[in-house]
Amino acid sequence: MRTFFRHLEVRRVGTAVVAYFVRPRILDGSEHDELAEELREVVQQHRPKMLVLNLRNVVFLPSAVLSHLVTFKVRLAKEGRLLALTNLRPEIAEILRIAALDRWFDIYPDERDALAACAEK
Amino acid sequence: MSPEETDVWIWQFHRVWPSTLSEAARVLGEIVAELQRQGWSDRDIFSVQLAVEEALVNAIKHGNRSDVSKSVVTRCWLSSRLLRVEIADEGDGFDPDAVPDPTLPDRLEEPSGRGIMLMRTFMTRVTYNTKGNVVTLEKERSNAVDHDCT
Repeated sequence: MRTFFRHLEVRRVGTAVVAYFVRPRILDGSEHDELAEELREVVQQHRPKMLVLNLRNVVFLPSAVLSHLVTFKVRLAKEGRLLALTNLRPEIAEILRIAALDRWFDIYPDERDALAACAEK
Repeated sequence: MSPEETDVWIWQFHRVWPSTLSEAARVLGEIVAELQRQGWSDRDIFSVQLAVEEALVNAIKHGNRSDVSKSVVTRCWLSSRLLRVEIADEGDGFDPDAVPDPTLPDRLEEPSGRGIMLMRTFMTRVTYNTKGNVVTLEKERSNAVDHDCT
């Protein structure tokens, strides 16, 4: 079953949740905050062991959104949960590499790899 | 030799706009549309879009503190090989050299500081005035030599 938010489309897969970004870019600052709120809501609703963010639709990743993801991962870790990023376009992977976050985030080629890692943990 | 000594500007604009992100999107859209019209590569346009967006958002949020009564001034020059964008806000400015390197291991979990780094990475040059409230971003067209020869 899929749940739709303004910025995210979400589906439960076992103990994990996979979330897709609906739109390719988010510019407006209030939308950044909305996205952060939606991510928190997804975790509250599903209490997943791992949240998988599928970034296949994302063509732009402003530093403000990147900061939200960093803060979100830290918060999840405190709750004993995992955050995984998958399906990064080359441009997005480059931004993460430049920010030295490509090893800090758990990044997988696709959902299957992320979910397999979740099952092993 | 500075670009101004060698470049013939084929497109320029000057906008004074209120500190809202919707206006920022409009200004950014104008710049991107012109680059597309001039046949700049997708890669260059991506770089410009990312860096200018960061600078515009910084001007609004950090410079003008999202105060819509304060303006952002954007001036832009485009030649066959160079884009220059100057963005001025009404804030107190800052010292860009004092912003810690966000890629240091002990700074990775900090939420701020990445915008300037991304701007510097994706543009050819990024300079600030002494006060720190005017940033100038320059991007040299990656295929400029080929373009000039054709």
